[in-house]
Amino acid sequence: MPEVFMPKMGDAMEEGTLLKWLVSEGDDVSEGDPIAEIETDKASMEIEAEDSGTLAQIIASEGDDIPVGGAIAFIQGEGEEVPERDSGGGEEAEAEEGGEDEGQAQAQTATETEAGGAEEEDEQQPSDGRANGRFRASPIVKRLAAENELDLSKVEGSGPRGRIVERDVRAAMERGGAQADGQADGQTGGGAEAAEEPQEAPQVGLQPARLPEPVEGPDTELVEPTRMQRVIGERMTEAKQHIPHFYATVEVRMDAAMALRKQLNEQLEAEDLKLSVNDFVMKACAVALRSYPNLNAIQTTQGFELHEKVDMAMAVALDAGLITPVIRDITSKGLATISRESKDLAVRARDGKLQPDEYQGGTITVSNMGMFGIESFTAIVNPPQAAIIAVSSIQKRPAYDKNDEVVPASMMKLTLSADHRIANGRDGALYMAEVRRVLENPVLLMV
Amino acid sequence: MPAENDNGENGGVETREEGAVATGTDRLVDLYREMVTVRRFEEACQRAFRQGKIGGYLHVYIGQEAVAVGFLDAFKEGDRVITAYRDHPHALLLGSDPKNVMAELFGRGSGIVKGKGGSMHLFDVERGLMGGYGIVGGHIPIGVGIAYALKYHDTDNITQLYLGDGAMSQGAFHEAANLAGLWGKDGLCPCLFIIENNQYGMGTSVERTTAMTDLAAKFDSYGIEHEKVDGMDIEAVLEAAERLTEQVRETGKPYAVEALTYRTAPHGAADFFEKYRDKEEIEEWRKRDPVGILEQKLLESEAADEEKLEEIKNEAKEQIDEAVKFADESDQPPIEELYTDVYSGADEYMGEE
Amino acid sequence: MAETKTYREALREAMVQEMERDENVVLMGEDIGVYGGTHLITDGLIDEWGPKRIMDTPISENGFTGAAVGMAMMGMRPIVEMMTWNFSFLAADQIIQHAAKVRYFSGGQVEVPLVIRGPNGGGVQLSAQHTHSLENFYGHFPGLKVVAPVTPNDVKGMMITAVRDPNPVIFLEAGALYGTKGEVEDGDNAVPFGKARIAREGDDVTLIAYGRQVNLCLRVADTLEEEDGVSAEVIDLRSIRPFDEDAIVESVEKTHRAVAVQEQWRWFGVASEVAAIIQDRAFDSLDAPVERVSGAEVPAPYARNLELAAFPSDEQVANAARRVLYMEEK
Repeated sequence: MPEVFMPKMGDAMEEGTLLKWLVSEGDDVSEGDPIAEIETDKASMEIEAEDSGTLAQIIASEGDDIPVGGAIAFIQGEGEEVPERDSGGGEEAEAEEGGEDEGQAQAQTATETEAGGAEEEDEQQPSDGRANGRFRASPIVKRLAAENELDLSKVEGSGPRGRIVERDVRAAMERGGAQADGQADGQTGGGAEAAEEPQEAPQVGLQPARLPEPVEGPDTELVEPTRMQRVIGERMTEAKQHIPHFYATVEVRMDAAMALRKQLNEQLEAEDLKLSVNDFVMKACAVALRSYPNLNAIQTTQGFELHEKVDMAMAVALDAGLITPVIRDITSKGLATISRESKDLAVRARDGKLQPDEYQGGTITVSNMGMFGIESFTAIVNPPQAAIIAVSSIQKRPAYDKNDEVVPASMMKLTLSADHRIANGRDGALYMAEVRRVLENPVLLMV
Repeated sequence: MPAENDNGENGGVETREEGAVATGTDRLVDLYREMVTVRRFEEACQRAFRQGKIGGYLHVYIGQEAVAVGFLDAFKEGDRVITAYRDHPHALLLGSDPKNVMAELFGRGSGIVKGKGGSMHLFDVERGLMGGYGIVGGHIPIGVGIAYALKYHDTDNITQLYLGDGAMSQGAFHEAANLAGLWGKDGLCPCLFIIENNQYGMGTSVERTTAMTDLAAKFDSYGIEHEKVDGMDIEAVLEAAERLTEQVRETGKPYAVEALTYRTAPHGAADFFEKYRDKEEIEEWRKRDPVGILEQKLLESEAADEEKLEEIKNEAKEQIDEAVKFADESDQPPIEELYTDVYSGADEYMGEE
Repeated sequence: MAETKTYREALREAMVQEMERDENVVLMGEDIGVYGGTHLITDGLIDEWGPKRIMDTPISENGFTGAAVGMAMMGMRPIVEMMTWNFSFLAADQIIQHAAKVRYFSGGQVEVPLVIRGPNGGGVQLSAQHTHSLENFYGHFPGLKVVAPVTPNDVKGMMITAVRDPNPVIFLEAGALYGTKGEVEDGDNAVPFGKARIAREGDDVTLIAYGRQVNLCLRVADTLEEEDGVSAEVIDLRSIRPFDEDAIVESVEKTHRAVAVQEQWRWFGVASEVAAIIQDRAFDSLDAPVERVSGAEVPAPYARNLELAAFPSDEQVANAARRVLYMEEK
């Protein structure tokens, strides 16, 4: 049943106007007869019948705008019926749309392969945006954080691979939980937690102590912590809150070590080198780790990772706070090398001239307060490490020799603080006993 | 316009004063001077190129002097000249100061296009030289358009459009010639095509580039009349130049003239003028080289003697030596010139980062 | 005063006005005179102006474009038609090596006040050799100016500016939009180059496009508003060289997110330049990387559905916007 439809008369033509019918309903038409005049935006022209028959039904009226391909009339052949139609243009338009959808579906597939690829990548990555202590955040987020003093470690990222995006920050700001100097907020999971750690239950009933307003009198001074102090404070708070510390103390008889030290220093004077007690202690702690590797571990996003190599951090006090330069692979180094390095690092630490790779990434820390005359103290584990050894001063005290006679002895206390999640009390105790054994038989420092 | 140029008053290649009545011989002596100056200039360029003072490409006109000298002798004020990259003589003969032309080749700020074009892009629009182009054949449609504009603006001027035999293989040539013939039918294209056929396109002889080696005859396809002229003989060139420029001027129809030349002096390290040559060599040279041929004519017609010839050669040498010295002593362009002339008008500095 | 006109009518009006104003303006092109022009833009003009101002040329793009360069150097102001911009490759040597550069290598002694115009872009099933969008191609070359007007008012105003500009102007008309209508100011409505048009204001995301994709972005902006509650800003670049960096930067500083849309292929396209400018000058305002939606990496096909798939679709652009908003795609 031949339809007569609006032809496409130009490459940009999308619709035409039916100006005038040249035949009437019921007329006989032959193929090639002009039957109507149409107008496009370029010109007007006649259209011809493409079939012979009777012009059975006129669909478009004069003056109508019909899209290209839209039906405007029917030519009925012998014995054919005119089908019922509501609006001639409707179906055609639908057919057009169908075609478009198809095209778009194909376009979809074309780009989906691109987008899909990217998404697959995303899924494989861990969803925690805080990789290695760094945040994934969009630039505007970083700017907002800086401007509003927000702590991004307290903001959950909803973007790909855990990226923190603007709406996350805006939401956090509204909730008020993202302030850098704010108190612990039980709702947002803060800190560099392991991905496997279950969400902590909100601390029901624990209200932070209500702090008074500053007095600001003539004999008071409001302290402005330095950035370093602030960071250290945060780290220490975090460590105290999250690490289940346990402690073990030994008292070491240092006479043999001191004698060896004196002997070595006489030899080394020519090289302008002077070994310190701390050099001996650090080396001993490293040697002892061979038997107790649990204590040389790092907490990662996927759990504790044991390290064979000992990168020993040594605490250096600064006016502005504290820094822990690292002696890499200390087990492979002799006392002289350790001495040289530790002195150099300490000097540069005090001058503020350390490079980041010189104070980052230690696996265990030794903190020596012996020079202050401290008899004993406990240190706070430095996350993400698992242990720290506190070294106190050498005190001369009476002790018993093997004949049960009282003799003067140089005694020094060492206290281990360790993370109970990786090492238990027995590991800690045995380790410290080993450290003592090495220091009391200092020839073991050579192996 | 170049800063140092004093309109060629004291520096340009000397030409006859307009309107002066010149006898045949005077004229030839003047033309001899022009040819020698051009030859001297080109030899100096070769030397400078070997010394590394001229960078990029260098295309010299040695052996073809009679063509440019002859046709440009028929140049009238307001006419236009356009050529490809073998353009030094056209600049000199239209009156650009050799100092500024050499400075351009040396890449100095006092060059006639401020050091921004180099050897292939010599322009002196005030004197009628519309460039200087590096793409073989690329300038030909432009030249046809320039001719059309001359008529569009109702002037009596013509365009002398120089091209080499190699350019006639380029599509641009054929399209342009077709347009010229078409517009010429209505007298709207006063363009004289001057084909400098030295019978080699770079390294390839004409026979190896086309089956139809009669280059002038190719213009038949475009409805453009044509003829050939002996490009080594200045007098033949002069005759053709006067006649054909007038014809094009009057009819507004394009015309093509194929000037046959060939490579003459060998490409030696020394310039022919410099090194002492023996008599036999000189005799040979005076039969085959356009400068030499003219020397022979002048001597035979007693328009000049050996002494006069020598004098002219020395004066030319001095002038060109000065040009080289000037170029040597000029500064490179100021670095700000990097960003100028990218656009015209208010956006001149648009290129600046 | 303004009237509703088609793009085609507005373009013609501009050229006629300039021909009236300056007798150096001539039109050149294939079949623009006696035939009336293949897009009927110049229809009837030869009867009014004669063959001196309306020049029919033989089919030799390189030849007549070069001739137009020569004419322009002599102070005429030719408007050369490329029957479609796809044929301009034949004239590329004259456009790129000559028109763009001769002012520079003549040390400023000549200028080339030339306009080259014609329909650009695809979308009407003209298949591979007749379907290119050349903004990035010509936009690459210093010495040329390149514009791509989208609205009837802009095509008139920018043609006026183009004719008056003493530099060679690559005038890329949106061929698919010749029949579209819009308000066109009467008289001299010169539109300056180097200024983008904010086609729609918004707050949440910026959609940047040129050519007929501007209209696509406007449709997408409506969809995003209705379906996703998103307020999109749409920028019509319209001037490719000189380029309006400030408009883009200001917009992204407001919305923090951008999608650049182009008909042409992704590699080395205008959208890449947009992305580079944004990351250079608005980095700290970005909430997401800049997305580019481009044509498929294929020569343009003929079949209607393939052709639709070869060019950016409403859906693709909408989803790109959703991605930068970290919303679910549809």
